[in-house]
Amino acid sequence: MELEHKQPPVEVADLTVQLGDKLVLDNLNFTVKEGSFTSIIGPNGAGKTTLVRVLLGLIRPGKGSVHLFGSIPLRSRNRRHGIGYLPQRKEFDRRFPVSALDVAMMGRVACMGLFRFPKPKDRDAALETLRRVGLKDDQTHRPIGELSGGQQQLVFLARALCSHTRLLLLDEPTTGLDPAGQERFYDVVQTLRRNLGLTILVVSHDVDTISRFADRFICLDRSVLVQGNPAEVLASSHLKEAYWGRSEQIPLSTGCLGVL
Amino acid sequence: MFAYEFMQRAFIAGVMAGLLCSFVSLFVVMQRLAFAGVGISHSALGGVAVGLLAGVNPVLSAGLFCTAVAWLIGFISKKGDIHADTVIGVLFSATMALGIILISLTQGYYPDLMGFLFGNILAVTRQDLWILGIVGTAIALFLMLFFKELLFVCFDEETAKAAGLPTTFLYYALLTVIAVTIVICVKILGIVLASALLVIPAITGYELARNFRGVLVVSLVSGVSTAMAGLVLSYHLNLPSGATIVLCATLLFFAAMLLSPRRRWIHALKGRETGTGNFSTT
Repeated sequence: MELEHKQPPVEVADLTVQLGDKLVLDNLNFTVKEGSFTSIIGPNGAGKTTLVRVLLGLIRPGKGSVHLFGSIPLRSRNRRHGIGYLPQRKEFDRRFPVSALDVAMMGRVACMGLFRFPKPKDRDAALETLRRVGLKDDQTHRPIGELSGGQQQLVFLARALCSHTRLLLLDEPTTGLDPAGQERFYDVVQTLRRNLGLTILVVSHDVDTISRFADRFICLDRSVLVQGNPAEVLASSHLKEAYWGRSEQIPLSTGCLGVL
Repeated sequence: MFAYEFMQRAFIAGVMAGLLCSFVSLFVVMQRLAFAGVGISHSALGGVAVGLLAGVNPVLSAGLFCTAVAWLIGFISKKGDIHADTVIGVLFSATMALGIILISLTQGYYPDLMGFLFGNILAVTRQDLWILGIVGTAIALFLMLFFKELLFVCFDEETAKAAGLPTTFLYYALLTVIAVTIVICVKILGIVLASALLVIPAITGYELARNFRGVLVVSLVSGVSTAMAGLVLSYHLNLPSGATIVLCATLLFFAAMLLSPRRRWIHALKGRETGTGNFSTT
Protein backbone atom coordinates (compact mmCIF):
# COMPACT_ATOMS: atom_id res chain seq x y z
CA MET A 1 0.00 0.00 0.00
CA GLU A 2 2.89 2.33 0.95
CA LEU A 3 4.56 1.46 -2.34
CA GLU A 4 1.37 2.08 -4.28
CA HIS A 5 1.12 5.64 -2.94
CA LYS A 6 4.61 6.44 -4.21
CA GLN A 7 3.63 5.53 -7.76
CA PRO A 8 2.41 8.42 -9.95
CA PRO A 9 -1.37 8.50 -10.49
CA VAL A 10 -0.90 8.22 -14.27
CA GLU A 11 2.14 6.98 -16.16
CA VAL A 12 1.90 6.54 -19.93
CA ALA A 13 4.87 5.14 -21.84
CA ASP A 14 5.17 4.65 -25.62
CA LEU A 15 1.39 4.28 -25.89
CA THR A 16 0.07 3.50 -29.37
CA VAL A 17 -3.57 2.70 -30.12
CA GLN A 18 -4.97 1.67 -33.45
CA LEU A 19 -8.75 1.31 -33.91
CA GLY A 20 -9.44 -0.70 -37.06
CA ASP A 21 -7.00 0.64 -39.61
CA LYS A 22 -6.87 4.10 -38.02
CA LEU A 23 -3.93 5.15 -35.87
CA VAL A 24 -5.61 7.09 -33.04
CA LEU A 25 -2.74 7.52 -30.57
CA ASP A 26 0.88 7.42 -31.60
CA ASN A 27 3.72 6.87 -29.14
CA LEU A 28 2.41 8.91 -26.17
CA ASN A 29 4.64 9.55 -23.18
CA PHE A 30 3.62 11.54 -20.11
CA THR A 31 3.28 11.34 -16.36
CA VAL A 32 0.69 12.99 -14.13
CA LYS A 33 1.96 13.97 -10.68
CA GLU A 34 -0.03 13.36 -7.53
CA GLY A 35 -2.21 16.34 -6.57
CA SER A 36 -1.86 18.05 -9.94
CA PHE A 37 -4.63 19.50 -12.11
CA THR A 38 -3.72 18.40 -15.61
CA SER A 39 -5.70 19.12 -18.73
CA ILE A 40 -5.48 17.17 -21.95
CA ILE A 41 -6.27 19.60 -24.75
CA GLY A 42 -6.41 19.22 -28.49
CA PRO A 43 -8.71 19.60 -31.49
CA ASN A 44 -11.57 17.27 -32.40
CA GLY A 45 -10.34 13.84 -33.41
CA ALA A 46 -7.06 14.29 -31.52
CA GLY A 47 -7.65 11.06 -29.56
CA LYS A 48 -8.50 12.67 -26.20
CA THR A 49 -11.52 10.48 -25.40
CA THR A 50 -9.71 7.37 -26.68
CA LEU A 51 -6.91 8.17 -24.23
CA VAL A 52 -9.43 8.36 -21.36
CA ARG A 53 -10.89 5.01 -22.42
CA VAL A 54 -7.42 3.49 -22.42
CA LEU A 55 -6.80 4.90 -18.93
CA LEU A 56 -10.07 3.29 -17.79
CA GLY A 57 -9.05 -0.06 -19.22
CA LEU A 58 -11.87 -0.05 -21.79
CA ILE A 59 -9.45 -0.12 -24.73
CA ARG A 60 -6.28 -2.18 -24.67
CA PRO A 61 -3.14 -0.43 -25.93
CA GLY A 62 -1.69 -1.84 -29.13
CA LYS A 63 1.80 -0.94 -27.92
CA GLY A 64 3.30 0.65 -24.84
CA SER A 65 1.97 0.74 -21.31
CA VAL A 66 -0.40 2.60 -19.01
CA HIS A 67 -0.15 2.50 -15.22
CA LEU A 68 -2.50 4.10 -12.70
CA PHE A 69 -0.87 4.25 -9.26
CA GLY A 70 1.50 1.58 -10.52
CA SER A 71 -1.21 -0.84 -11.69
CA ILE A 72 -2.37 -1.72 -15.18
CA PRO A 73 -6.00 -0.57 -15.60
CA LEU A 74 -8.13 -3.67 -16.09
CA ARG A 75 -11.83 -4.10 -16.49
CA SER A 76 -12.42 -5.33 -12.99
CA ARG A 77 -14.14 -3.43 -10.26
CA ASN A 78 -11.44 -3.98 -7.60
CA ARG A 79 -9.03 -2.07 -9.85
CA ARG A 80 -11.50 0.83 -9.97
CA HIS A 81 -10.99 1.80 -6.32
CA GLY A 82 -9.58 5.28 -6.16
CA ILE A 83 -10.44 6.20 -9.76
CA GLY A 84 -13.46 8.39 -10.43
CA TYR A 85 -14.77 9.00 -13.94
CA LEU A 86 -17.13 11.63 -15.24
CA PRO A 87 -17.98 10.97 -18.92
CA GLN A 88 -19.02 13.48 -21.53
CA ARG A 89 -22.41 14.91 -20.79
CA LYS A 90 -25.13 13.14 -22.74
CA GLU A 91 -28.86 12.79 -22.94
CA PHE A 92 -30.57 10.55 -20.44
CA ASP A 93 -34.13 9.51 -19.73
CA ARG A 94 -35.44 12.43 -17.70
CA ARG A 95 -38.15 10.21 -16.22
CA PHE A 96 -35.67 7.63 -14.97
CA PRO A 97 -36.89 7.04 -11.41
CA VAL A 98 -33.76 7.80 -9.36
CA SER A 99 -32.96 10.63 -6.96
CA ALA A 100 -29.68 12.55 -6.79
CA LEU A 101 -28.77 10.37 -3.80
CA ASP A 102 -29.48 7.16 -5.78
CA VAL A 103 -27.18 8.38 -8.58
CA ALA A 104 -24.39 9.18 -6.11
CA MET A 105 -24.90 5.75 -4.53
CA MET A 106 -24.13 4.20 -7.94
CA GLY A 107 -20.57 5.41 -7.37
CA ARG A 108 -20.45 3.22 -4.26
CA VAL A 109 -21.40 0.18 -6.37
CA ALA A 110 -17.91 0.31 -7.87
CA CYS A 111 -16.32 -0.43 -4.48
CA MET A 112 -18.95 -2.89 -3.23
CA GLY A 113 -18.70 -6.57 -3.96
CA LEU A 114 -21.29 -8.53 -5.91
CA PHE A 115 -24.16 -9.83 -3.75
CA ARG A 116 -23.60 -7.02 -1.26
CA PHE A 117 -26.42 -4.67 -0.41
CA PRO A 118 -25.72 -1.00 0.33
CA LYS A 119 -25.39 -0.26 4.05
CA PRO A 120 -26.24 2.93 5.96
CA LYS A 121 -22.55 3.92 5.86
CA ASP A 122 -22.67 3.82 2.03
CA ARG A 123 -25.72 6.08 2.08
CA ASP A 124 -24.07 8.47 4.55
CA ALA A 125 -20.91 8.60 2.44
CA ALA A 126 -22.96 9.39 -0.69
CA LEU A 127 -24.89 12.13 1.16
CA GLU A 128 -21.67 13.63 2.46
CA THR A 129 -20.20 13.67 -1.06
CA LEU A 130 -23.32 15.37 -2.45
CA ARG A 131 -22.93 18.06 0.22
CA ARG A 132 -19.24 18.42 -0.63
CA VAL A 133 -20.02 19.20 -4.28
CA GLY A 134 -22.49 21.83 -3.16
CA LEU A 135 -25.89 20.16 -3.40
CA LYS A 136 -28.39 21.31 -0.80
CA ASP A 137 -30.00 18.72 1.48
CA ASP A 138 -33.47 19.19 -0.05
CA GLN A 139 -32.03 18.54 -3.53
CA THR A 140 -30.47 15.19 -2.64
CA HIS A 141 -33.82 13.41 -2.60
CA ARG A 142 -35.21 15.06 -5.73
CA PRO A 143 -35.44 13.02 -8.95
CA ILE A 144 -32.35 13.59 -11.09
CA GLY A 145 -34.52 14.71 -14.01
CA GLU A 146 -35.93 17.59 -11.93
CA LEU A 147 -32.54 19.16 -11.29
CA SER A 148 -30.99 21.80 -13.55
CA GLY A 149 -28.17 20.86 -15.92
CA GLY A 150 -25.51 22.30 -13.63
CA GLN A 151 -26.92 20.48 -10.59
CA GLN A 152 -27.09 17.22 -12.54
CA GLN A 153 -23.43 17.56 -13.46
CA LEU A 154 -22.56 18.09 -9.77
CA VAL A 155 -24.48 14.90 -8.92
CA PHE A 156 -22.49 13.00 -11.56
CA LEU A 157 -19.31 14.52 -10.09
CA ALA A 158 -20.40 13.25 -6.66
CA ARG A 159 -20.94 9.78 -8.15
CA ALA A 160 -17.37 9.89 -9.53
CA LEU A 161 -16.08 10.80 -6.07
CA CYS A 162 -17.93 8.08 -4.20
CA SER A 163 -15.44 5.25 -4.72
CA HIS A 164 -12.64 6.45 -2.39
CA THR A 165 -11.42 8.53 -5.31
CA ARG A 166 -7.82 9.72 -5.52
CA LEU A 167 -7.67 10.25 -9.29
CA LEU A 168 -10.55 12.02 -11.02
CA LEU A 169 -10.88 11.59 -14.81
CA LEU A 170 -13.19 14.18 -16.36
CA ASP A 171 -14.07 13.97 -20.06
CA GLU A 172 -15.39 17.30 -21.38
CA PRO A 173 -17.32 17.78 -18.13
CA THR A 174 -18.74 21.21 -18.86
CA THR A 175 -20.16 20.60 -22.33
CA GLY A 176 -23.59 22.21 -22.47
CA LEU A 177 -23.05 24.43 -19.42
CA ASP A 178 -23.11 28.20 -19.79
CA PRO A 179 -19.83 30.09 -19.02
CA ALA A 180 -20.89 30.86 -15.42
CA GLY A 181 -21.86 27.21 -14.91
CA GLN A 182 -18.49 26.10 -16.27
CA GLU A 183 -16.64 28.42 -13.85
CA ARG A 184 -18.73 27.17 -10.93
CA PHE A 185 -18.11 23.55 -11.88
CA TYR A 186 -14.33 23.97 -12.06
CA ASP A 187 -14.36 26.00 -8.83
CA VAL A 188 -15.96 22.99 -7.11
CA VAL A 189 -13.39 20.64 -8.67
CA GLN A 190 -10.53 22.90 -7.58
CA THR A 191 -11.86 23.08 -4.00
CA LEU A 192 -12.26 19.28 -3.88
CA ARG A 193 -8.75 18.85 -5.16
CA ARG A 194 -7.36 21.02 -2.36
CA ASN A 195 -9.54 19.57 0.40
CA LEU A 196 -9.29 15.91 -0.58
CA GLY A 197 -5.83 15.91 -2.15
CA LEU A 198 -7.20 14.67 -5.47
CA THR A 199 -5.32 14.39 -8.72
CA ILE A 200 -7.37 15.83 -11.56
CA LEU A 201 -7.03 14.84 -15.21
CA VAL A 202 -9.53 16.66 -17.39
CA VAL A 203 -10.04 16.37 -21.12
CA SER A 204 -11.24 19.69 -22.44
CA HIS A 205 -11.92 21.41 -25.70
CA ASP A 206 -12.37 24.75 -23.96
CA VAL A 207 -8.79 25.92 -23.56
CA ASP A 208 -9.83 29.39 -22.41
CA THR A 209 -11.75 28.28 -19.29
CA ILE A 210 -9.54 25.39 -18.28
CA SER A 211 -6.37 27.51 -18.45
CA ARG A 212 -7.58 29.35 -15.33
CA PHE A 213 -7.68 26.13 -13.31
CA ALA A 214 -5.13 23.65 -14.67
CA ASP A 215 -1.50 23.76 -13.60
CA ARG A 216 -0.37 21.59 -16.50
CA PHE A 217 -1.42 21.18 -20.13
CA ILE A 218 -0.79 18.22 -22.41
CA CYS A 219 -1.58 19.14 -26.01
CA LEU A 220 -2.55 16.08 -27.98
CA ASP A 221 -3.08 15.49 -31.66
CA ARG A 222 -2.56 11.73 -32.02
CA SER A 223 0.81 12.25 -30.34
CA VAL A 224 1.81 14.62 -27.56
CA LEU A 225 2.67 17.87 -29.37
CA VAL A 226 3.70 19.84 -26.32
CA GLN A 227 3.31 19.61 -22.53
CA GLY A 228 4.10 21.94 -19.68
CA ASN A 229 2.50 24.72 -17.68
CA PRO A 230 -0.45 26.44 -19.38
CA ALA A 231 1.47 29.63 -20.25
CA GLU A 232 4.23 27.66 -21.98
CA VAL A 233 1.83 25.48 -23.90
CA LEU A 234 -0.40 28.36 -24.96
CA ALA A 235 2.62 30.21 -26.31
CA SER A 236 3.82 27.17 -28.21
CA SER A 237 3.65 27.14 -31.99
CA HIS A 238 2.71 23.43 -31.83
CA LEU A 239 -0.62 24.26 -30.19
CA LYS A 240 -1.50 26.87 -32.78
CA GLU A 241 -0.56 24.48 -35.57
CA ALA A 242 -2.75 21.76 -34.08
CA TYR A 243 -5.81 24.01 -34.07
CA TRP A 244 -5.00 26.17 -37.09
CA GLY A 245 -4.13 23.17 -39.17
CA ARG A 246 -7.68 21.93 -38.76
CA SER A 247 -9.20 25.43 -39.24
CA GLU A 248 -11.40 24.88 -36.21
CA GLN A 249 -10.12 27.46 -33.81
CA ILE A 250 -8.36 30.79 -33.77
CA PRO A 251 -6.15 32.37 -31.11
CA LEU A 252 -7.87 34.94 -28.94
CA SER A 253 -6.23 38.27 -28.07
CA THR A 254 -5.46 36.80 -24.65
CA GLY A 255 -3.24 34.21 -26.24
CA CYS A 256 -5.88 31.55 -25.65
CA LEU A 257 -7.84 29.81 -28.34
CA GLY A 258 -11.45 30.30 -29.24
CA VAL A 259 -13.79 28.16 -31.26
CA LEU A 260 -14.67 29.48 -34.69
CA MET B 1 -65.41 -20.04 -8.22
CA PHE B 2 -62.67 -21.46 -5.99
CA ALA B 3 -64.65 -24.68 -5.47
CA TYR B 4 -62.97 -25.95 -8.64
CA GLU B 5 -59.38 -27.09 -8.36
CA PHE B 6 -58.54 -25.74 -11.82
CA MET B 7 -59.68 -22.29 -10.68
CA GLN B 8 -57.48 -22.51 -7.59
CA ARG B 9 -54.53 -23.39 -9.82
CA ALA B 10 -55.44 -20.59 -12.24
CA PHE B 11 -55.57 -18.09 -9.39
CA ILE B 12 -52.19 -19.13 -7.98
CA ALA B 13 -50.68 -19.04 -11.49
CA GLY B 14 -52.18 -15.58 -12.12
CA VAL B 15 -50.76 -14.16 -8.88
CA MET B 16 -47.31 -15.66 -9.50
CA ALA B 17 -47.22 -14.46 -13.13
CA GLY B 18 -48.43 -11.01 -12.07
CA LEU B 19 -45.69 -10.72 -9.43
CA LEU B 20 -42.95 -12.01 -11.70
CA CYS B 21 -43.89 -9.97 -14.78
CA SER B 22 -44.28 -6.76 -12.79
CA PHE B 23 -40.84 -7.22 -11.15
CA VAL B 24 -39.18 -7.89 -14.52
CA SER B 25 -41.12 -5.00 -16.10
CA LEU B 26 -39.23 -2.48 -13.93
CA PHE B 27 -36.00 -3.38 -15.73
CA VAL B 28 -37.69 -3.74 -19.14
CA VAL B 29 -38.95 -0.16 -18.91
CA MET B 30 -35.79 1.30 -17.33
CA GLN B 31 -33.59 -0.35 -19.99
CA ARG B 32 -36.10 0.59 -22.74
CA LEU B 33 -36.54 -3.03 -23.82
CA ALA B 34 -40.32 -2.90 -24.28
CA PHE B 35 -40.13 -3.65 -28.00
CA ALA B 36 -37.57 -6.40 -27.33
CA GLY B 37 -40.22 -8.03 -25.10
CA VAL B 38 -42.72 -7.91 -27.96
CA GLY B 39 -40.18 -9.38 -30.38
CA ILE B 40 -39.09 -12.15 -28.01
CA SER B 41 -42.66 -13.14 -27.10
CA HIS B 42 -43.76 -13.37 -30.72
CA SER B 43 -40.70 -15.44 -31.57
CA ALA B 44 -42.08 -18.04 -29.14
CA LEU B 45 -44.38 -19.13 -31.98
CA GLY B 46 -41.33 -20.40 -33.85
CA GLY B 47 -40.13 -22.23 -30.74
CA VAL B 48 -43.53 -23.81 -30.11
CA ALA B 49 -43.73 -24.92 -33.76
CA VAL B 50 -40.26 -26.50 -33.54
CA GLY B 51 -41.39 -28.38 -30.42
CA LEU B 52 -44.62 -29.59 -32.02
CA LEU B 53 -42.80 -30.70 -35.16
CA ALA B 54 -40.01 -32.45 -33.26
CA GLY B 55 -42.28 -33.97 -30.65
CA VAL B 56 -40.50 -32.09 -27.85
CA ASN B 57 -42.26 -30.25 -25.00
CA PRO B 58 -43.24 -26.96 -26.75
CA VAL B 59 -42.59 -24.90 -23.59
CA LEU B 60 -39.01 -26.20 -23.45
CA SER B 61 -38.40 -25.63 -27.16
CA ALA B 62 -39.97 -22.17 -26.94
CA GLY B 63 -37.76 -21.34 -23.95
CA LEU B 64 -34.59 -22.27 -25.80
CA PHE B 65 -35.75 -20.59 -29.01
CA CYS B 66 -36.76 -17.34 -27.27
CA THR B 67 -33.48 -17.19 -25.36
CA ALA B 68 -31.54 -17.67 -28.60
CA VAL B 69 -33.58 -14.92 -30.29
CA ALA B 70 -33.05 -12.61 -27.28
CA TRP B 71 -29.27 -13.16 -27.44
CA LEU B 72 -29.30 -12.62 -31.20
CA ILE B 73 -31.14 -9.32 -30.73
CA GLY B 74 -28.52 -8.31 -28.16
CA PHE B 75 -25.56 -9.48 -30.23
CA ILE B 76 -26.56 -7.87 -33.54
CA SER B 77 -27.61 -4.59 -31.95
CA LYS B 78 -24.38 -4.38 -29.89
CA LYS B 79 -21.92 -5.57 -32.52
CA GLY B 80 -23.56 -4.84 -35.83
CA ASP B 81 -24.11 -1.08 -35.54
CA ILE B 82 -27.82 -1.67 -36.14
CA HIS B 83 -30.39 -0.17 -33.82
CA ALA B 84 -32.02 -2.75 -31.55
CA ASP B 85 -35.54 -1.85 -32.80
CA THR B 86 -34.50 -2.63 -36.39
CA VAL B 87 -33.07 -6.01 -35.38
CA ILE B 88 -36.21 -6.83 -33.38
CA GLY B 89 -38.42 -5.82 -36.33
CA VAL B 90 -36.59 -8.28 -38.59
CA LEU B 91 -36.37 -11.19 -36.13
CA PHE B 92 -39.94 -10.68 -34.86
CA SER B 93 -41.47 -11.22 -38.31
CA ALA B 94 -38.91 -13.83 -39.42
CA THR B 95 -39.47 -16.09 -36.40
CA MET B 96 -43.26 -15.76 -36.69
CA ALA B 97 -43.02 -16.65 -40.38
CA LEU B 98 -40.88 -19.66 -39.47
CA GLY B 99 -43.46 -20.70 -36.88
CA ILE B 100 -46.36 -20.46 -39.36
CA ILE B 101 -44.46 -22.48 -42.00
CA LEU B 102 -43.42 -25.17 -39.50
CA ILE B 103 -46.98 -25.47 -38.17
CA SER B 104 -48.31 -25.81 -41.71
CA LEU B 105 -45.85 -28.68 -42.24
CA THR B 106 -47.05 -30.62 -39.20
CA GLN B 107 -49.76 -33.21 -39.67
CA GLY B 108 -52.90 -33.16 -37.56
CA TYR B 109 -54.61 -30.67 -35.30
CA TYR B 110 -53.02 -29.25 -32.19
CA PRO B 111 -55.62 -27.98 -29.74
CA ASP B 112 -52.79 -26.52 -27.59
CA LEU B 113 -51.79 -24.09 -30.35
CA MET B 114 -54.61 -21.63 -29.61
CA GLY B 115 -53.72 -21.92 -25.94
CA PHE B 116 -50.14 -20.95 -26.71
CA LEU B 117 -51.23 -18.06 -28.91
CA PHE B 118 -53.82 -16.51 -26.61
CA GLY B 119 -53.23 -18.24 -23.26
CA ASN B 120 -55.40 -20.71 -21.39
CA ILE B 121 -54.99 -20.20 -17.69
CA LEU B 122 -57.72 -22.74 -16.92
CA ALA B 123 -55.50 -25.45 -18.42
CA VAL B 124 -52.64 -24.73 -15.99
CA THR B 125 -51.48 -27.99 -14.44
CA ARG B 126 -49.81 -28.70 -11.10
CA GLN B 127 -46.54 -29.17 -13.02
CA ASP B 128 -46.93 -25.74 -14.65
CA LEU B 129 -47.31 -24.22 -11.19
CA TRP B 130 -44.10 -25.88 -10.00
CA ILE B 131 -42.21 -24.61 -13.08
CA LEU B 132 -43.61 -21.11 -12.61
CA GLY B 133 -42.76 -21.16 -8.89
CA ILE B 134 -39.21 -22.50 -9.19
CA VAL B 135 -38.12 -20.57 -12.29
CA GLY B 136 -39.92 -17.43 -11.12
CA THR B 137 -38.16 -17.57 -7.75
CA ALA B 138 -34.79 -18.02 -9.47
CA ILE B 139 -35.45 -14.97 -11.67
CA ALA B 140 -36.58 -12.87 -8.68
CA LEU B 141 -33.46 -13.90 -6.73
CA PHE B 142 -31.23 -12.96 -9.65
CA LEU B 143 -32.87 -9.55 -9.97
CA MET B 144 -32.56 -8.91 -6.23
CA LEU B 145 -28.91 -9.98 -6.08
CA PHE B 146 -27.92 -7.82 -9.04
CA PHE B 147 -30.38 -5.00 -8.36
CA LYS B 148 -27.83 -2.24 -7.74
CA GLU B 149 -25.71 -3.28 -10.73
CA LEU B 150 -28.71 -3.52 -13.06
CA LEU B 151 -29.96 -0.11 -11.89
CA PHE B 152 -26.55 1.41 -12.68
CA VAL B 153 -26.38 -0.24 -16.11
CA CYS B 154 -29.93 0.81 -17.01
CA PHE B 155 -29.19 4.43 -16.04
CA ASP B 156 -25.70 4.87 -17.48
CA GLU B 157 -24.14 1.86 -19.16
CA GLU B 158 -20.93 3.64 -20.16
CA THR B 159 -20.07 4.78 -16.63
CA ALA B 160 -21.07 1.40 -15.20
CA LYS B 161 -18.66 -0.24 -17.65
CA ALA B 162 -15.92 2.22 -16.71
CA ALA B 163 -16.57 1.36 -13.04
CA GLY B 164 -15.70 -2.25 -13.83
CA LEU B 165 -19.22 -3.70 -13.80
CA PRO B 166 -19.83 -6.71 -16.07
CA THR B 167 -22.19 -4.77 -18.33
CA THR B 168 -22.22 -7.28 -21.21
CA PHE B 169 -23.07 -10.15 -18.85
CA LEU B 170 -25.82 -8.08 -17.20
CA TYR B 171 -27.31 -7.07 -20.58
CA TYR B 172 -27.50 -10.66 -21.84
CA ALA B 173 -28.71 -11.87 -18.45
CA LEU B 174 -31.55 -9.35 -18.58
CA LEU B 175 -32.48 -10.47 -22.12
CA THR B 176 -32.47 -14.08 -20.87
CA VAL B 177 -34.67 -13.14 -17.91
CA ILE B 178 -37.17 -11.52 -20.31
CA ALA B 179 -37.17 -14.58 -22.60
CA VAL B 180 -37.63 -17.08 -19.77
CA THR B 181 -40.32 -14.98 -18.07
CA ILE B 182 -42.28 -14.80 -21.32
CA VAL B 183 -42.07 -18.53 -21.89
CA ILE B 184 -43.18 -19.57 -18.40
CA CYS B 185 -46.07 -17.10 -18.59
CA VAL B 186 -47.14 -18.11 -22.10
CA LYS B 187 -49.76 -20.58 -20.89
CA ILE B 188 -51.39 -17.85 -18.82
CA LEU B 189 -51.17 -14.85 -21.14
CA GLY B 190 -50.40 -16.32 -24.55
CA ILE B 191 -47.63 -15.52 -27.03
CA VAL B 192 -49.49 -12.51 -28.41
CA LEU B 193 -50.09 -10.85 -25.04
CA ALA B 194 -47.23 -12.06 -22.82
CA SER B 195 -45.09 -9.00 -23.45
CA ALA B 196 -47.85 -6.63 -22.31
CA LEU B 197 -47.40 -7.53 -18.64
CA LEU B 198 -43.67 -6.91 -19.04
CA VAL B 199 -44.34 -3.25 -19.72
CA ILE B 200 -47.68 -2.04 -18.33
CA PRO B 201 -47.11 -2.58 -14.57
CA ALA B 202 -43.86 -0.57 -14.54
CA ILE B 203 -45.18 2.29 -16.66
CA THR B 204 -48.17 2.44 -14.28
CA GLY B 205 -45.57 2.76 -11.51
CA TYR B 206 -43.78 5.52 -13.45
CA GLU B 207 -47.03 7.50 -13.44
CA LEU B 208 -47.58 7.26 -9.70
CA ALA B 209 -44.08 7.22 -8.18
CA ARG B 210 -40.91 9.24 -8.68
CA ASN B 211 -38.39 6.75 -7.30
CA PHE B 212 -37.62 3.18 -8.40
CA ARG B 213 -38.65 1.85 -4.98
CA GLY B 214 -42.10 3.38 -5.36
CA VAL B 215 -42.29 2.32 -9.02
CA LEU B 216 -41.51 -1.26 -7.98
CA VAL B 217 -44.17 -1.28 -5.25
CA VAL B 218 -46.85 0.16 -7.58
CA SER B 219 -45.75 -2.23 -10.31
CA LEU B 220 -46.04 -5.31 -8.04
CA VAL B 221 -49.40 -4.22 -6.63
CA SER B 222 -50.82 -3.41 -10.07
CA GLY B 223 -49.43 -6.63 -11.59
CA VAL B 224 -51.00 -8.85 -8.95
CA SER B 225 -54.28 -6.94 -8.63
CA THR B 226 -54.92 -6.82 -12.39
CA ALA B 227 -54.09 -10.52 -12.69
CA MET B 228 -56.67 -11.32 -9.98
CA ALA B 229 -59.26 -8.88 -11.35
CA GLY B 230 -58.75 -10.22 -14.87
CA LEU B 231 -59.23 -13.79 -13.73
CA VAL B 232 -62.41 -13.06 -11.77
CA LEU B 233 -63.87 -11.08 -14.68
CA SER B 234 -62.91 -13.68 -17.25
CA TYR B 235 -64.56 -16.41 -15.13
CA HIS B 236 -67.82 -14.53 -14.59
CA LEU B 237 -68.08 -13.01 -18.09
CA ASN B 238 -66.70 -16.08 -19.86
CA LEU B 239 -63.89 -14.12 -21.53
CA PRO B 240 -60.36 -15.20 -22.52
CA SER B 241 -58.27 -14.88 -19.35
CA GLY B 242 -55.03 -13.50 -20.84
CA ALA B 243 -56.79 -10.77 -22.82
CA THR B 244 -58.93 -9.78 -19.79
CA ILE B 245 -55.85 -9.51 -17.54
CA VAL B 246 -54.04 -7.32 -20.11
CA LEU B 247 -57.10 -5.07 -20.55
CA CYS B 248 -57.42 -4.68 -16.76
CA ALA B 249 -53.75 -3.68 -16.56
CA THR B 250 -54.21 -1.20 -19.41
CA LEU B 251 -57.25 0.37 -17.73
CA LEU B 252 -55.26 0.74 -14.51
CA PHE B 253 -52.47 2.40 -16.47
CA PHE B 254 -54.87 4.96 -17.98
CA ALA B 255 -56.35 5.60 -14.53
CA ALA B 256 -52.81 6.14 -13.18
CA MET B 257 -52.11 8.56 -16.03
CA LEU B 258 -55.18 10.60 -15.14
CA LEU B 259 -54.31 10.68 -11.43
CA SER B 260 -50.55 11.04 -11.87
CA PRO B 261 -48.84 13.67 -9.75
CA ARG B 262 -46.01 13.39 -12.31
CA ARG B 263 -48.13 15.20 -14.89
CA ARG B 264 -48.25 18.24 -12.66
CA TRP B 265 -44.53 18.40 -12.08
CA ILE B 266 -43.71 17.74 -15.72
CA HIS B 267 -45.69 20.88 -16.56
CA ALA B 268 -43.93 22.71 -13.73
CA LEU B 269 -40.59 21.57 -15.11
CA LYS B 270 -41.40 22.76 -18.60
CA GLY B 271 -42.35 26.14 -17.15
CA ARG B 272 -39.08 26.34 -15.24
CA GLU B 273 -37.01 25.46 -18.29
CA THR B 274 -38.63 28.21 -20.28
CA GLY B 275 -38.10 30.63 -17.42
CA THR B 276 -34.38 30.04 -16.83
CA GLY B 277 -33.29 29.29 -20.37
CA ASN B 278 -31.05 26.53 -19.01
CA PHE B 279 -29.88 23.84 -21.42
CA SER B 280 -32.19 20.95 -21.99
CA THR B 281 -31.49 17.35 -21.09
CA THR B 282 -34.32 15.87 -23.10
